[in-house]
Amino acid sequence: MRVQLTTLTALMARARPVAAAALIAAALLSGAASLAEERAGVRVDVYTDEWIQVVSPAIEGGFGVGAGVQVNGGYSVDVLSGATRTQTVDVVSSATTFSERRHQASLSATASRHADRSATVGYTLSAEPDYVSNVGSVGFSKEILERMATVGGTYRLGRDRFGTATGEAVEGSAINQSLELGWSHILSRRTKGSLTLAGDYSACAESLGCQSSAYRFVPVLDLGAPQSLLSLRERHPETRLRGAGALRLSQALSTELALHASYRYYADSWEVRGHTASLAAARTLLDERLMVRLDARGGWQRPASFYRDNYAIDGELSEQLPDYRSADPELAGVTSAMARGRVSWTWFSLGPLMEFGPNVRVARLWYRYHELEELPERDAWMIGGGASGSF
Amino acid sequence: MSALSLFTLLFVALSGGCVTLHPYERAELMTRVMSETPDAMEASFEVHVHRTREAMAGAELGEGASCGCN
Repeated sequence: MRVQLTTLTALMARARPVAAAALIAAALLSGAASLAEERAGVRVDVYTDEWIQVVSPAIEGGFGVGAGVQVNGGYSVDVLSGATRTQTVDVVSSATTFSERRHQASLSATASRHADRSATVGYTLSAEPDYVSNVGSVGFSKEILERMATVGGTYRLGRDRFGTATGEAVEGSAINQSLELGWSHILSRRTKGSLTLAGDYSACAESLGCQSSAYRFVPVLDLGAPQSLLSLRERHPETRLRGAGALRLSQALSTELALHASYRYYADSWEVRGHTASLAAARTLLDERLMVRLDARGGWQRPASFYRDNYAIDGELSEQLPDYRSADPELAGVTSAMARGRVSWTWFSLGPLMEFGPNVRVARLWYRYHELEELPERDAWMIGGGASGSF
Repeated sequence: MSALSLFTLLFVALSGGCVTLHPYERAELMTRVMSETPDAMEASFEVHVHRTREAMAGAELGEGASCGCN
């Protein structure tokens, strides 16, 4: 059953909380306008691993509308192809080949009538044959402490609807709300830092729960009858509360060399706990026309409380059937690493008012799944390039 | 004390000891190498990739999209 896009009326009804918040944010603004910026960019990113290849072209742009108002928009397509590790209903672990496209469009408007504050409203639509996501957002930022610090926040409200592209009568929806608050601070002539706190709450259809896949089945071994292997559709809890906090520091060693460091802690109601850390060095050459940046990222997470690599029962199925079961590698224990190199070249510049140039990025990713016998590791390449300019 | 609490305390301590800088004293903070996110589209794609491989999400540079990508 194909999921139909929601009607404009239904979207407007769900956007009421976001619209109300946008009005409040707009009321904070008055006074002189800040300079708008015209900009445009285009790029193509490619992700490839043993199973899946994704080619993602994208464009974005922005321009000033009137005094102190900036409108930005973007569009991208994910063209997916390859094979997925899918435990089918026939209890056969198979590589199901597929090809699919996901479209994403976004639009936002930022008003900054005072130079030290701004408010933003935005909307993002993501659509693929079996999944549609509508997200509205409203945000604000304000410089404080004699413009040495900036505080800001963004609230997002989204509704996802999903089904299957195979014609099975499995469908549902999810409501997602998130709030992100940030504080960035100039610590010295050469140092700046920021603290970001984010919270997210999802309420999902009972049929599958949050983040579960209608295509995934979980093998359950019956210890009382070892020759019998059951296959149950994946099912996750109907709600999920998530939180993350990140600290970032940037240190200029000179006008041509800087270091960046970050750390993030994550926790959710499914008892996933994780840490992510990154280090980066950026250097400009040739009178700042060429910039080279090297990044290293590492992550570790423990699995969700209901995640098992192998589920087993011993006795009556109805007595021991696990309420929640998952074959999603994301919910397993994971150790990850990424090494990335990026080069950007400024072809043309006119001080801070205008610049244009291409960029290229290559990254290598490693994922090690602790409790996933069928897929203990997954390595990938991420390659991309584009050109962007501001005027 | 968790690592995040320690980092937060460090951040608050550093913030409290800052002096006020005039705009002309912030030149080194405005250089290209000090930008945390060189390209917003690139950052969004990377966030999207991480979110389809790990359960962790939030407080990132760049916005990932919601999808049936898992």
